[in-house]
Amino acid sequence: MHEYGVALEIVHMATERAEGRKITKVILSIGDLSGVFGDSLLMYCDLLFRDAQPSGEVLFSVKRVNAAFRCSCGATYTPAEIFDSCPACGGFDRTVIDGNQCIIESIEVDNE
Amino acid sequence: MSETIRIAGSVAAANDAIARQNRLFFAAHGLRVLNMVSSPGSGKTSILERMALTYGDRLAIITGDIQTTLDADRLKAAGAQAVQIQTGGSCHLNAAMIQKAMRPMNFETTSLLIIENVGNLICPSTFDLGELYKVAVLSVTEGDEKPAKYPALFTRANAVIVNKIDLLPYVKFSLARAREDCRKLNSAAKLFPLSCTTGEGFEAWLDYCKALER
Repeated sequence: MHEYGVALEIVHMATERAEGRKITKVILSIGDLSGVFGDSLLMYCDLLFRDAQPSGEVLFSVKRVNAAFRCSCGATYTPAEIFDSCPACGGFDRTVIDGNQCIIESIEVDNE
Repeated sequence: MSETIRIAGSVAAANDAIARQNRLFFAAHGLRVLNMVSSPGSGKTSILERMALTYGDRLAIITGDIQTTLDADRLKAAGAQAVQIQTGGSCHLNAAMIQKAMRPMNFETTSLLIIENVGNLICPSTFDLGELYKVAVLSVTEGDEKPAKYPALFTRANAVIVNKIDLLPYVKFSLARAREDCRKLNSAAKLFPLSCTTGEGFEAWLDYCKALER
Protein backbone atom coordinates (compact mmCIF):
# COMPACT_ATOMS: atom_id res chain seq x y z
CA MET A 1 0.00 0.00 0.00
CA HIS A 2 2.82 2.40 0.77
CA GLU A 3 4.36 1.72 -2.64
CA TYR A 4 2.79 4.99 -3.82
CA GLY A 5 4.96 6.92 -1.39
CA VAL A 6 8.01 4.86 -2.35
CA ALA A 7 7.32 5.53 -6.04
CA LEU A 8 7.06 9.27 -5.36
CA GLU A 9 10.50 9.15 -3.78
CA ILE A 10 11.92 7.21 -6.74
CA VAL A 11 10.56 9.78 -9.19
CA HIS A 12 11.97 12.59 -7.05
CA MET A 13 15.43 11.03 -6.78
CA ALA A 14 15.58 10.11 -10.47
CA THR A 15 14.43 13.47 -11.81
CA GLU A 16 16.78 15.31 -9.47
CA ARG A 17 19.79 13.39 -10.82
CA ALA A 18 18.59 13.54 -14.41
CA GLU A 19 18.85 17.34 -14.26
CA GLY A 20 16.29 17.96 -16.96
CA ARG A 21 17.33 15.14 -19.28
CA LYS A 22 14.84 12.52 -20.44
CA ILE A 23 14.93 9.39 -18.27
CA THR A 24 14.69 6.21 -20.32
CA LYS A 25 15.29 3.57 -17.69
CA VAL A 26 15.25 3.16 -13.90
CA ILE A 27 17.06 0.25 -12.27
CA LEU A 28 15.92 -0.79 -8.78
CA SER A 29 17.00 -3.35 -6.19
CA ILE A 30 14.21 -4.62 -3.94
CA GLY A 31 14.94 -6.95 -1.04
CA ASP A 32 12.66 -9.79 0.01
CA LEU A 33 12.45 -8.28 3.50
CA SER A 34 11.92 -4.69 2.33
CA GLY A 35 8.14 -4.83 2.67
CA VAL A 36 7.85 -3.39 -0.84
CA PHE A 37 5.69 -5.26 -3.33
CA GLY A 38 7.38 -4.96 -6.71
CA ASP A 39 4.31 -5.11 -8.97
CA SER A 40 2.51 -2.37 -7.02
CA LEU A 41 5.64 -0.25 -6.98
CA LEU A 42 6.11 -0.49 -10.73
CA MET A 43 2.46 0.35 -11.34
CA TYR A 44 2.79 3.55 -9.32
CA CYS A 45 6.20 4.35 -10.83
CA ASP A 46 4.73 4.05 -14.31
CA LEU A 47 1.83 6.37 -13.47
CA LEU A 48 3.98 8.93 -11.70
CA PHE A 49 6.68 9.02 -14.36
CA ARG A 50 4.01 9.58 -17.03
CA ASP A 51 3.02 12.68 -15.06
CA ALA A 52 6.57 13.81 -14.41
CA GLN A 53 7.81 13.10 -17.91
CA PRO A 54 4.98 13.09 -20.47
CA SER A 55 7.49 13.12 -23.34
CA GLY A 56 8.62 9.55 -23.11
CA GLU A 57 8.05 6.13 -21.58
CA VAL A 58 10.36 4.93 -18.83
CA LEU A 59 11.44 1.31 -18.62
CA PHE A 60 11.93 -0.30 -15.21
CA SER A 61 14.32 -3.04 -14.26
CA VAL A 62 14.02 -4.68 -10.84
CA LYS A 63 16.70 -6.82 -9.28
CA ARG A 64 15.27 -8.93 -6.46
CA VAL A 65 17.61 -9.35 -3.53
CA ASN A 66 17.14 -12.50 -1.49
CA ALA A 67 17.25 -12.39 2.30
CA ALA A 68 20.72 -13.34 3.53
CA PHE A 69 21.83 -14.06 7.06
CA ARG A 70 24.99 -14.30 9.13
CA CYS A 71 24.75 -17.08 11.67
CA SER A 72 26.35 -16.84 15.11
CA CYS A 73 28.55 -19.76 14.02
CA GLY A 74 30.10 -17.44 11.42
CA ALA A 75 28.46 -18.87 8.33
CA THR A 76 26.58 -16.64 5.92
CA TYR A 77 23.77 -18.08 3.84
CA THR A 78 20.81 -17.31 1.65
CA PRO A 79 17.99 -19.65 2.54
CA ALA A 80 15.59 -20.98 -0.08
CA GLU A 81 12.82 -20.49 2.48
CA ILE A 82 12.96 -18.00 5.35
CA PHE A 83 12.62 -20.83 7.88
CA ASP A 84 15.60 -22.77 6.56
CA SER A 85 18.22 -23.15 9.24
CA CYS A 86 21.93 -22.44 8.95
CA PRO A 87 23.45 -25.06 6.64
CA ALA A 88 26.63 -25.10 8.73
CA CYS A 89 25.26 -25.55 12.26
CA GLY A 90 21.50 -26.03 11.85
CA GLY A 91 20.73 -23.06 14.11
CA PHE A 92 18.65 -19.87 13.86
CA ASP A 93 20.80 -17.49 15.88
CA ARG A 94 21.33 -15.12 12.96
CA THR A 95 21.22 -11.52 11.81
CA VAL A 96 19.97 -10.17 8.52
CA ILE A 97 22.82 -9.03 6.26
CA ASP A 98 20.91 -8.51 3.00
CA GLY A 99 17.35 -8.24 1.75
CA ASN A 100 16.08 -5.22 3.69
CA GLN A 101 16.78 -2.69 1.01
CA CYS A 102 14.77 -0.81 -1.57
CA ILE A 103 17.33 1.09 -3.64
CA ILE A 104 17.37 3.07 -6.84
CA GLU A 105 20.63 1.74 -8.30
CA SER A 106 20.90 3.85 -11.43
CA ILE A 107 19.04 5.61 -14.19
CA GLU A 108 19.64 5.87 -17.92
CA VAL A 109 19.13 9.25 -19.49
CA ASP A 110 19.03 10.52 -23.05
CA ASN A 111 21.67 13.17 -23.56
CA GLU A 112 20.23 14.42 -26.85
CA MET B 1 23.18 9.33 -26.72
CA SER B 2 22.33 7.31 -23.62
CA GLU B 3 24.15 7.76 -20.30
CA THR B 4 23.92 5.68 -17.16
CA ILE B 5 23.95 7.62 -13.91
CA ARG B 6 24.70 5.61 -10.80
CA ILE B 7 22.64 6.66 -7.78
CA ALA B 8 22.73 3.72 -5.32
CA GLY B 9 20.35 5.58 -3.05
CA SER B 10 17.86 4.11 -0.63
CA VAL B 11 14.31 5.27 -1.25
CA ALA B 12 14.08 5.51 2.53
CA ALA B 13 16.94 8.02 2.71
CA ALA B 14 14.73 11.07 3.26
CA ASN B 15 12.75 9.34 6.02
CA ASP B 16 15.90 7.88 7.58
CA ALA B 17 17.53 11.31 7.80
CA ILE B 18 14.60 12.56 9.89
CA ALA B 19 14.60 9.34 11.91
CA ARG B 20 18.23 10.09 12.81
CA GLN B 21 17.19 13.56 13.98
CA ASN B 22 14.46 11.96 16.08
CA ARG B 23 16.97 9.52 17.53
CA LEU B 24 19.29 12.38 18.52
CA PHE B 25 16.36 14.21 20.14
CA PHE B 26 15.38 11.10 22.09
CA ALA B 27 18.96 10.57 23.25
CA ALA B 28 19.31 14.21 24.30
CA HIS B 29 16.16 13.88 26.43
CA GLY B 30 17.03 10.44 27.79
CA LEU B 31 13.95 8.97 26.16
CA ARG B 32 13.53 5.26 25.50
CA VAL B 33 11.16 4.81 22.56
CA LEU B 34 9.22 1.78 21.36
CA ASN B 35 7.38 1.52 18.03
CA MET B 36 4.38 -0.78 18.44
CA VAL B 37 3.29 -2.45 15.20
CA SER B 38 0.40 -4.84 14.61
CA SER B 39 -2.69 -5.47 12.56
CA PRO B 40 -5.86 -3.55 13.52
CA GLY B 41 -7.67 -4.95 16.56
CA SER B 42 -4.76 -6.83 18.12
CA GLY B 43 -5.09 -4.80 21.31
CA LYS B 44 -2.31 -2.19 21.11
CA THR B 45 -4.41 0.56 22.64
CA SER B 46 -5.75 -1.74 25.36
CA ILE B 47 -2.20 -2.77 26.26
CA LEU B 48 -1.20 0.88 26.51
CA GLU B 49 -4.30 1.64 28.61
CA ARG B 50 -3.30 -1.06 31.05
CA MET B 51 0.29 0.24 31.09
CA ALA B 52 -1.06 3.68 31.99
CA LEU B 53 -2.50 2.20 35.21
CA THR B 54 1.11 1.62 36.32
CA TYR B 55 2.86 4.54 34.65
CA GLY B 56 0.33 7.37 34.71
CA ASP B 57 1.72 10.44 32.97
CA ARG B 58 5.24 8.99 33.04
CA LEU B 59 4.07 7.14 29.94
CA ALA B 60 4.01 9.28 26.80
CA ILE B 61 2.26 7.95 23.71
CA ILE B 62 2.08 9.08 20.11
CA THR B 63 -0.76 7.14 18.53
CA GLY B 64 -1.53 6.97 14.81
CA ASP B 65 -4.78 6.21 13.01
CA ILE B 66 -6.27 7.07 9.65
CA GLN B 67 -9.09 8.99 11.33
CA THR B 68 -10.40 10.04 14.78
CA THR B 69 -8.81 10.87 18.11
CA LEU B 70 -10.48 7.89 19.79
CA ASP B 71 -7.24 6.22 20.82
CA ALA B 72 -5.59 9.34 22.21
CA ASP B 73 -8.80 10.13 24.09
CA ARG B 74 -8.81 6.67 25.69
CA LEU B 75 -5.14 6.90 26.62
CA LYS B 76 -5.46 10.38 28.14
CA ALA B 77 -8.45 9.19 30.16
CA ALA B 78 -6.25 6.33 31.41
CA GLY B 79 -3.69 8.85 32.68
CA ALA B 80 -1.00 8.82 30.00
CA GLN B 81 0.27 11.80 28.04
CA ALA B 82 -1.05 11.09 24.55
CA VAL B 83 -0.99 12.82 21.20
CA GLN B 84 -2.96 11.65 18.16
CA ILE B 85 -1.71 11.60 14.58
CA GLN B 86 -4.49 11.33 12.01
CA THR B 87 -2.83 10.31 8.78
CA GLY B 88 -5.91 10.89 6.64
CA GLY B 89 -5.05 7.88 4.50
CA SER B 90 -1.41 6.92 4.96
CA CYS B 91 -1.15 3.32 6.10
CA HIS B 92 1.89 3.94 8.31
CA LEU B 93 3.60 6.61 10.36
CA ASN B 94 6.84 8.13 9.12
CA ALA B 95 9.64 9.95 10.89
CA ALA B 96 8.41 13.40 9.87
CA MET B 97 4.99 12.76 11.41
CA ILE B 98 6.65 11.78 14.70
CA GLN B 99 8.89 14.83 14.65
CA LYS B 100 5.87 17.10 14.21
CA ALA B 101 3.74 15.27 16.79
CA MET B 102 6.41 15.65 19.48
CA ARG B 103 6.43 19.43 19.34
CA PRO B 104 3.67 20.09 21.90
CA MET B 105 4.76 17.24 24.19
CA ASN B 106 6.53 17.66 27.53
CA PHE B 107 9.01 14.89 28.32
CA GLU B 108 10.37 16.19 31.66
CA THR B 109 8.78 13.42 33.70
CA THR B 110 8.49 10.82 30.92
CA SER B 111 9.89 7.36 31.68
CA LEU B 112 8.90 5.75 28.40
CA LEU B 113 7.64 6.96 25.01
CA ILE B 114 5.64 4.52 22.94
CA ILE B 115 4.59 5.11 19.36
CA GLU B 116 1.40 3.21 18.55
CA ASN B 117 1.61 2.77 14.79
CA VAL B 118 -1.30 2.58 12.36
CA GLY B 119 -2.86 -0.89 12.44
CA ASN B 120 -1.02 -2.63 9.61
CA LEU B 121 1.40 -5.58 9.66
CA ILE B 122 3.21 -4.64 6.46
CA CYS B 123 4.04 -1.01 5.83
CA PRO B 124 4.99 0.18 9.34
CA SER B 125 7.49 -2.66 9.73
CA THR B 126 10.10 -1.05 7.50
CA PHE B 127 9.82 2.65 8.35
CA ASP B 128 12.37 3.87 10.85
CA LEU B 129 10.82 6.44 13.19
CA GLY B 130 13.92 6.82 15.36
CA GLU B 131 12.78 4.23 17.88
CA LEU B 132 14.98 2.08 20.05
CA TYR B 133 13.01 -1.08 19.31
CA LYS B 134 10.07 -2.25 17.26
CA VAL B 135 7.51 -4.27 19.20
CA ALA B 136 5.19 -6.57 17.26
CA VAL B 137 1.77 -7.26 18.74
CA LEU B 138 -0.11 -10.36 17.68
CA SER B 139 -3.40 -11.57 19.16
CA VAL B 140 -4.37 -15.23 19.40
CA THR B 141 -7.50 -14.61 17.35
CA GLU B 142 -5.33 -13.80 14.31
CA GLY B 143 -3.76 -17.21 13.93
CA ASP B 144 -0.34 -18.59 14.82
CA GLU B 145 0.95 -18.40 11.25
CA LYS B 146 1.18 -14.60 11.33
CA PRO B 147 4.95 -14.42 12.01
CA ALA B 148 5.61 -16.75 9.06
CA LYS B 149 3.41 -14.67 6.77
CA TYR B 150 4.90 -11.31 7.76
CA PRO B 151 8.65 -11.88 8.10
CA ALA B 152 9.52 -8.22 7.36
CA LEU B 153 8.10 -7.25 10.76
CA PHE B 154 9.05 -10.26 12.83
CA THR B 155 12.68 -10.26 11.70
CA ARG B 156 12.90 -6.66 12.93
CA ALA B 157 10.95 -6.77 16.19
CA ASN B 158 12.95 -6.89 19.41
CA ALA B 159 9.85 -7.99 21.33
CA VAL B 160 6.64 -9.78 20.38
CA ILE B 161 3.52 -9.48 22.50
CA VAL B 162 1.00 -12.30 22.04
CA ASN B 163 -2.21 -10.76 23.36
CA LYS B 164 -5.61 -12.14 24.33
CA ILE B 165 -4.25 -15.40 25.77
CA ASP B 166 -7.42 -15.58 27.86
CA LEU B 167 -9.09 -16.66 24.59
CA LEU B 168 -6.70 -19.58 23.95
CA PRO B 169 -9.29 -22.21 25.02
CA TYR B 170 -11.62 -20.97 22.26
CA VAL B 171 -9.31 -20.49 19.26
CA LYS B 172 -6.94 -22.66 17.24
CA PHE B 173 -3.69 -20.96 18.15
CA SER B 174 -0.52 -22.79 19.02
CA LEU B 175 1.64 -20.67 21.29
CA ALA B 176 4.45 -23.17 20.75
CA ARG B 177 4.28 -22.70 16.97
CA ALA B 178 4.19 -18.91 17.21
CA ARG B 179 7.11 -18.95 19.65
CA GLU B 180 9.15 -21.26 17.42
CA ASP B 181 8.48 -19.25 14.26
CA CYS B 182 9.39 -16.01 16.04
CA ARG B 183 12.60 -17.63 17.27
CA LYS B 184 13.53 -18.70 13.76
CA LEU B 185 12.90 -15.23 12.36
CA ASN B 186 14.68 -13.38 15.14
CA SER B 187 16.29 -15.47 17.86
CA ALA B 188 16.95 -12.34 19.95
CA ALA B 189 13.29 -11.33 20.14
CA LYS B 190 11.56 -11.79 23.49
CA LEU B 191 8.02 -13.17 23.52
CA PHE B 192 5.39 -11.90 25.96
CA PRO B 193 2.17 -13.95 26.00
CA LEU B 194 -0.33 -11.92 27.98
CA SER B 195 -3.90 -10.82 28.39
CA CYS B 196 -4.56 -7.15 28.93
CA THR B 197 -8.09 -8.13 29.96
CA THR B 198 -7.18 -10.49 32.81
CA GLY B 199 -3.65 -9.20 33.46
CA GLU B 200 -2.07 -12.63 33.02
CA GLY B 201 1.52 -12.27 31.83
CA PHE B 202 1.40 -8.46 31.98
CA GLU B 203 3.96 -8.17 34.75
CA ALA B 204 6.68 -9.66 32.54
CA TRP B 205 5.92 -7.07 29.86
CA LEU B 206 6.07 -4.27 32.43
CA ASP B 207 9.41 -5.63 33.66
CA TYR B 208 10.77 -5.51 30.09
CA CYS B 209 9.67 -1.87 29.77
CA LYS B 210 11.03 -0.97 33.21
CA ALA B 211 14.42 -2.34 32.27
CA LEU B 212 14.50 0.02 29.27
CA GLU B 213 13.38 3.24 30.88
CA ARG B 214 15.65 5.94 32.15
